[in-house]
This record gives sequence, structure tokens and C-alpha cells, in this order.
Amino acid sequence: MAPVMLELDCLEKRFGKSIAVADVSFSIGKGEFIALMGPSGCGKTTTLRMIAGLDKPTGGEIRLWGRRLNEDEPWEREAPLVWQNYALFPFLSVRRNVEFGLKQRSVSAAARKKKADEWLARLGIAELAERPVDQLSGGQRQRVALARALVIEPEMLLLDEPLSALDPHLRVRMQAELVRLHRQLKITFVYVTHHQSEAFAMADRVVIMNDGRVQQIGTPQEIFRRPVNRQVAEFIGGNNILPGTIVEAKEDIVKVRTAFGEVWAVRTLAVKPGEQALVIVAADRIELDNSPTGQGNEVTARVATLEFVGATVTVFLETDDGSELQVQRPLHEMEGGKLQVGRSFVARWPAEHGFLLAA
Amino acid sequence: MKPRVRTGWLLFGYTVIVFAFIFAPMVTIAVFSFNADRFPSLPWAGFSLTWYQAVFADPTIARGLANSLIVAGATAVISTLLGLGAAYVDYRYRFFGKAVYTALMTLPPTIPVVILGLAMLTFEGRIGMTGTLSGIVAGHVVLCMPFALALVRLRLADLDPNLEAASWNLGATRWTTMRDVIIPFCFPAIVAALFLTAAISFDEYMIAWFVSGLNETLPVRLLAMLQGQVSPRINAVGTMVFAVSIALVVVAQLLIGRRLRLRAAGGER
Repeated sequence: MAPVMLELDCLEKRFGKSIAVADVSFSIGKGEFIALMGPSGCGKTTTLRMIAGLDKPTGGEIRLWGRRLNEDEPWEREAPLVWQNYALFPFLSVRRNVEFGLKQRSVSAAARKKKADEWLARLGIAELAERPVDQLSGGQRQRVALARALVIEPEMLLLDEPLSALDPHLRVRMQAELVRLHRQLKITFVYVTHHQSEAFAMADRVVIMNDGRVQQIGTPQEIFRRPVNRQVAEFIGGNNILPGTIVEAKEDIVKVRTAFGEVWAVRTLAVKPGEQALVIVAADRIELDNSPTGQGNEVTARVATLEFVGATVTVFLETDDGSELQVQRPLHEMEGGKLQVGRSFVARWPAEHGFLLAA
Repeated sequence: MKPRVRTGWLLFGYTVIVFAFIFAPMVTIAVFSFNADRFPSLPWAGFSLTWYQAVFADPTIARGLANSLIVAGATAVISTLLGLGAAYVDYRYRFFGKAVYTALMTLPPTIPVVILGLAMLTFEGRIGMTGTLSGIVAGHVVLCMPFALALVRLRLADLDPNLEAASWNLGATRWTTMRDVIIPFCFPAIVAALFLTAAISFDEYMIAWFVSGLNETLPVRLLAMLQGQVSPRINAVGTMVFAVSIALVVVAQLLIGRRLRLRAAGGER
């Protein structure tokens, strides 16, 4: 584990009576790529703005290398931000935009120009140096914004939904480029997004926020496989959440009565028979078969709708009483015409792929 | 198709008539300023620069013109600076009594200039500023600042609030952000405000008449001449004053218009 660089300690931000951020605590290691993720209004951007000094915390502490940062003005911090709308200076050329931070640091005109040109070249937009920024495309503005932030050689880069204004094709390319930059520069990236795909594709660790609070912190795999509560499970998607009543509790597994009948799941909570709980089953852990085999948990249901995304197909199954179950399978498994709306299948998953969360 | 064409011509004719009404008196003055005859009557007695020669020969007019230019220049600079500051405060901060602050800032042009002039005379008389050029400048700044404020405020309304934060984020303090972001962004409005306030000051005679004393500005001199006798020299002076004012206003309009065109083209964001 890299040495701890930035610590947020019980951070709180109130705007009047409403609380934007409450009791947020986590630390970021040097050189880490960390993503703050959550629905809009969850407090992720406010947290980022507090790191940049643009919003002042109303409680708690931010520490950089152990030193309290709360009272430092934004211009005293070295934490450049890449803005969602890029916030480029419209009255300056591309090169002068990139030079801006250097000018504030009293770098000589010649050295500024040289450095700015180096970074423009590094981001593949050297030929745009003389252009006014209002003649650039979204992707080009994005690169200028990155160059403008990175030219001051910070030890930490803040990114606020930087890709959300780009079209999907470009977004994927910029994702790869950001990961490459992060690897080359070895500096800390703090990345705010509401897109699970962006956060999970790029970040070393993801902080899931909701209602101003941290819900879960972990690697993308940890969060994807083991959401800690219902909100996270719903937010990251791809999970079946089956409310039920415990029927039987053994040492490490439990039997739960759900809308799909009785299913077995791993006993991840200390529950007793009669109590309520949620059984979480990842959609990609469920197999589809033509007939029951009597092994694992089995549910018979009809295909209600189908969704094809790339090489994955999501099958929405519906039982007679209207309960829904989603199953994700690789497309090739499902080819050959057997997948049709209205057809019945047996959905099957072994007990160890279901686990309990508090209801 | 046809009714539309007719409406177009009607509107065109209407516009021509409106402009004719507005400009006819001024055109008359300009035309008769070149008339050889001393009475403004038709038929025209022939082209002549006599009245202009007479004007330039008159030292009181030359001094009036010099005074007017000094006052207009000083007024333009001071009221634009104050207007910029006031507009920035309005853009940047929210505070108790802001509505009152904004109302007070924009109030002066709604006060009849006679009242404003009289008030200036009384006040400046007490502090010994009457009869000085700075006294006239002070009065004109009160009148002109709201126009500068309005122009800069219009421009600031287009400023993405993130730009200021982006500037701080890149290491610029509040002051350097003012220098490197706010002023460059507002530059067209600032220049427009300079020209417009200069034009307003150059034309203004009421406040100037009250407080100028012996330091007459050109419009005050003109008024004095009118009260004495009706001389075609007045036409010549009037034409020159009009030419200077319209030039200032046109430059201001061009600068404002350039900004609007840019915005219409979706260029600025």
C-alpha cells in the first residue's frame, strides 16, 4: 500500500440547513486512482470542491501529508481541477490557457511557452496551440483542460465528471488515455463520476456515496461482488435483490423464503429463522437451462424482455406472480434461436453465489 | 408570399419616417451650418465655411471644447472604473441589502437632471468644488456610472462562474484573477462603457451649467450663445458636437454589437 497522502476526516459540509456532505472519512494513497461515485446530489462533487478549497468544510478536517488543509485558500493548494464543462478561458488561445497556471507561478514567458507546447504535444494537440478555444471540439477542449491542469506538475489531479460531455465513442478512448496518463505520471487522481462503467474501468479504488455519506469503499471487484447494502447493490446494478424471510439457519448457509420460492444463500448476516433479509444474486451468476436438475437454487420463469449490449445479453425473466429476475449471459451461449420472449427457462444458481444483506 | 412583401415595405417605410423625424432637425442644423446666408431660410445662399472659421476664431469656444474633452475623458475613466467595481460586486457577492444597493447604483439617470444639477451645486458649494472642472466631473460621474455598470453587468452575466474558480484553482489570487480573468473577459464592455460615458458627459449641459461657473464646457457655452443672439455659429458648433457624440456612440455600439454577434454565433460560452 502506497503511503497515505490525503486524508478526509469526518468531513462535513452544510449549505444553510441542508447537509451536502456528512461524516465522510477516507484516505487516499500517493499515486492512487480513486473514484468518487454516486447519483447526482450525493455529495461527491462537494467533496471534490472541498479538496480543491473551493468550498470550505463546516466540520471535520482535510489533511495533506498530515498537515491540516481546511483554511488554505484554493490558490495556495496544488490540486488542479478538470471541470465538467472544461471552464477554459474563452478570451485566451489554447496555448495561453495552458500557460495560465505557470503565469501565476511567475514562470518566465519563454519557459511558459516551452512547457505549454510540451504538454500540448504530449496530449496530441500541438497543432491547436494558436487557436481560440471556442473553435475546438469537445474532445479537444478536454485535452486542453487536461494540459492546463497537468502543466503545473501537481502531485494530485482532480477530475469532475470530465467525460460526461463527450460522445460514448470518444469517452471510451479518453478513458484509456486517462489510465495511460495516470500510469506514466504516477500522481494521485481523484475522479468524480456518476457512471459506474467509468469508475470501475479506471479506478484502483471506488468510494460509493449516497445522501452525502460514504456507503462503501473498495476495489471495483469488491464493490461489484460484495455490495454492503441495498443502496449500493441497486446503484451498481446487475444484481437481483430478493426480499425474503429466513426459514432455516445453518452454520454457514440459510434457507430463505422469497417470491421465487425457498432459496439457499451464504449466511453473511447473523440471522435467525423468522427474520427478514435480502438475498443478493449477481445477474451473471445465474445460468439458464431447459429443464430442472434438482441442483442448487432453481426458478422456472418466462422471458419478459431482452437487452443486447455488446457481447452480453440481459434476460429479464418473469414468474407467474409477476416477480422479476435478471440474468446476464454471454451472447454466444444464447445464439441459435432458442432465446425468445415468452419462452420458459429454468434459472439456476448455486447457493454460494447468493448472500444476505440487511432488509 | 404577397402580403408578406407588402408588410415588409410598410415596415421599411415606417422605419424611414421614424428616422426622418429623429434626424431631420439635426440634419437641418448641419445643412445650415454650411449656409453662406446668416439666416436659416431657404433658398440656400451657397456653401460656405464662414461660420466654422468664426467658431475657431472664438477663444471661448475653444476653451469650452478643451474643458468638455477633459471632463469627458476623466468622467469616462472614473465612471467606468466605478461601474466595473459595482458590477463585479453585484456578480460576485450576495449580501444583506443587495437589492437596495443595486437600486441605489442605478438610480441617478432616473432623477431629473435639473434636480441633480441643483443638488450638485448645493453640495459642491459647501465643500468648495463649484466652478472647478473636478466639480463637473464629479457630477457627470454620478450620472454616467450607472451606464457603465449596466454594460459591464450585461457582460458579466455571460461569465461562467466556474471560470473564476478555475483561475483560483490554478493558483491565481482574487486580485490576479481580477487582472487575468475578469478584466480580459469584460474588455469589450469596458471599452464600450468608456465611449458611451464619454459621449454622455460630452453632451451633458444641465449639471455642467449649474456647477461650472467660469469653466464652461462646450454645451454650456452653446447655451450662453443661444441666450445672447441667434448666430449661425451655433449651427456650426452644434454640428461638431453632434459629430463627436455620434462617433463615440457608434464606436460603443459596434463593440457591443460585436459581442452580441459572437454570442449569436454560439462562439462564446
